[in-house]
Amino acid sequence: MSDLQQTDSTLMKALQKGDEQALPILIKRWERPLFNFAYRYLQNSQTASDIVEETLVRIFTKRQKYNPKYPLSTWLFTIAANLCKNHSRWLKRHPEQSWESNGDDDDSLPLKEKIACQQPSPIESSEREEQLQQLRGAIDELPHELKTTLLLHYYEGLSYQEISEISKCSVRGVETRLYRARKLLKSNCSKLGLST
Amino acid sequence: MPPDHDELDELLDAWKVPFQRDEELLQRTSKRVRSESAHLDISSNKLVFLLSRPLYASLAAAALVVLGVFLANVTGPRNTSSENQSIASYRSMIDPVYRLKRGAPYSKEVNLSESTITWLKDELHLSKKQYIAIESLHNSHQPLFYTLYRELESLEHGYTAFDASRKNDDVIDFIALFELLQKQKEIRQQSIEETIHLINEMYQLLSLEQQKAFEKIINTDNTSTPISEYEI
Repeated sequence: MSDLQQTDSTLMKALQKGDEQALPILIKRWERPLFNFAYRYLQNSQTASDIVEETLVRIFTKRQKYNPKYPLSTWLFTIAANLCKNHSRWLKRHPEQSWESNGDDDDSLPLKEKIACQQPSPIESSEREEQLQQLRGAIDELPHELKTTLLLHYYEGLSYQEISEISKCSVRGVETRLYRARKLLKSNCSKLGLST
Repeated sequence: MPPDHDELDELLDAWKVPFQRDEELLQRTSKRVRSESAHLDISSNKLVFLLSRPLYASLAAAALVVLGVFLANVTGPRNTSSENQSIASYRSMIDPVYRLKRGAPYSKEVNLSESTITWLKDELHLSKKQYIAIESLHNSHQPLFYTLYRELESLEHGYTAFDASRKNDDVIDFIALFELLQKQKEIRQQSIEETIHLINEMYQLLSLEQQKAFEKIINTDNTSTPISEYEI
């Protein structure tokens, strides 16, 4: 059976039985979603990498606690969200100097990809970049519950049910959080002068 | 004007992440996984081997039952009670909000309870170096915790007095009440921040295992909000 055909549940069962070969497949599969989430939450690529590593170590060390009845995504994002929350708290007390100023770092794209993209004009690009920077700032200001709900819903495509399991609240609660997150985001963006 | 629904969605969509596969992630993760599970494997393999033999398994089960009954009857209740007391004492020492709620005023000024720190040393299996550093850390925080506790206590008395006078007075000074509550909220917040600050510093001095044990201690008392749920 190829790597793609093996479900998360099968891989986790194998891991629980001591088959370490399942770990590299899970890492390959989940590295990107976990990084995306942690990066958007903390807006720092180095810390996001650390969170990904810690989450992956924990799925191995805590593998016996995983219940295959539930999707692996819920369990993984629960771990990642808690780690992000703890780190965020830590940062409030110990702010770092080296915050990445630009979370949407297009400089990381190879030149040929940049040329190949249909880029907006420099003025449009600059305006959009400014708006994005304000959006990132506004997301960063959101409380943990709202931020997690928003990121998991918009970017990771998780269902309300899955998010409710991660956030330990009802599906209705997720809807409310999403509504509040959007409202707060709009309000914060507005305060920051976003007027598109 | 705030962006409307579509514009916000558009902006959210436009936020891309500069993801690059970490070529060394697998190597690092595997290395950590191996080192963290190595010592467990050694002991669990031996245990599994022994317990796979019916005679040894029966003996082990019988021994555990006897030990359990013995511990429950002889040492259980007293130790649990004493343990809870120690946990409450420690939490009171580092959390003025909790101390006030528990109704445990300071008997003497700012004295760090040596017995509590000694108890913590045993609970966390601290080395001598750790013990000295942790004692010093707690000592340095005590004056501020004491001051914050006193302020919280005084504000609590102020509120009680206000509430008592309100019952006999037709005129309610809402501004005074508002100021009192604001101040209370502010001091409470400051107190929580100081507690979390101390805990963060503690984590820096502890090993991973000790951190887990410490986390359990500070979140054990279910009669109050666990520290992990404090919001700052």
